Amino acid sequence: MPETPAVPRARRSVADHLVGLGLSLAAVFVVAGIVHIVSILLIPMLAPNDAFARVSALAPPGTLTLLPPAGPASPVPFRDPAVAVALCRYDLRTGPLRVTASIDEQIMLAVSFHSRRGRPFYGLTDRSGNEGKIDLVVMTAEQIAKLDTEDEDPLREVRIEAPEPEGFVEFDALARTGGPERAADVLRSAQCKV
Amino acid sequence: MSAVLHARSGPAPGRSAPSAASGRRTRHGPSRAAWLAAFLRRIIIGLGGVGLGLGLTQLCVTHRWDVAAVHIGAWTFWPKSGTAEIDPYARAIFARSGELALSAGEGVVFTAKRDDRGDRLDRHCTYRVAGQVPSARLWTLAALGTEGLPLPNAADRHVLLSSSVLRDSHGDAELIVSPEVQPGNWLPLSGDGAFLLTLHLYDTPIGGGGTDASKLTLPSITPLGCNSHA
Repeated sequence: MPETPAVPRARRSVADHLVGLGLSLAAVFVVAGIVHIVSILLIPMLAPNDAFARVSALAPPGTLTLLPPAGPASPVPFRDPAVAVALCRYDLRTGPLRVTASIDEQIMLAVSFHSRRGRPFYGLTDRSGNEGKIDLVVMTAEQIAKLDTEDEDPLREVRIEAPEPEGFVEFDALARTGGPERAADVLRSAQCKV
Repeated sequence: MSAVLHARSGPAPGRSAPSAASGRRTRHGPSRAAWLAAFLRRIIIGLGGVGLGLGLTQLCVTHRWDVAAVHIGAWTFWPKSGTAEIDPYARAIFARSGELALSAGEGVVFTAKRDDRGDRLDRHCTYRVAGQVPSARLWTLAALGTEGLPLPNAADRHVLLSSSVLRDSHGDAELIVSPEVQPGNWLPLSGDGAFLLTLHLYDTPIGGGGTDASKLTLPSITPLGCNSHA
């Protein structure tokens, strides 16, 4: 628009002001909505002190680490104080992870699998165990596909597909009597190995 | 919107300038002002939107607000938080708190931050937790601070366990949550301020979104009185 028309502009009416304000507010809400959704989705990727970070600080990879009993200074919040917890961090890029644990009738034992980015993708208790044992193998989708083509005789082991190569296994033990100290006994026999 | 912006820049000083040499200047003057106004407006909209969006996220995460949460009486739970289909809000909340999500195959957890009257749970008050607990192999009731850590107490007792609580002749248990020593099933409180109650159910058919949560019956949380807030 090189030439500005010499016609005098109509004075802005109150209605124009309101429309302008309404449009601006609507724009603010649209931006806020987008920012809100994006930030909620980004937090699991960016949170510096999420469960995996805490597990990494407590448990070296591929080793089962028993957490101290839940107390006022527990490193992991929102734990059930009755439950004894052991953690095992894994990286499936070095190979599938085998998880075994023996079962004690007096103790509820649960094994749950968490991905690096906060997805608890599988969990079971000793009720699903076989012949007094829990025996599982965690693999990536590629590792399962490779095994299926190579193996003529599929193994009996229970295979679990992990959504991400990194993650951790959580062993929870709850004793009917005797508290977390008694429950921790069953965790000492558990294993997780690459 | 740009028409509105032009209108606002109104009769600009540049317009009264002689027109021959002002081909550029007329273009320059008012359009620069308009450009600046539009630019400022966008900055304000952008900053306002970002601030509001991040503020909302912060509120959701710190107050553990989740659109996918199910409320039953005073209790809240997330049916899908223990599965790979965990919703983005629960993921964000857990990522910030650093907690370990209870997997659906293991059990479910119900959390209460208010009593049945709708008042915030207060560490100076005594509460009775009683009534039916959904079927589970074991359940536990714990009192946690708002940051999710057990409350320090002289008895070093942080939790009541279904297999060791005292029950009446009907098999029902009455649990007393209180800062004062209580006979029976006592869960101690200590310190000042708010707290949370968590009810964990292990090996239960609930969870993973398989059951209709609205049909669940959970224990009541009845306030029985408070100490003076000395």
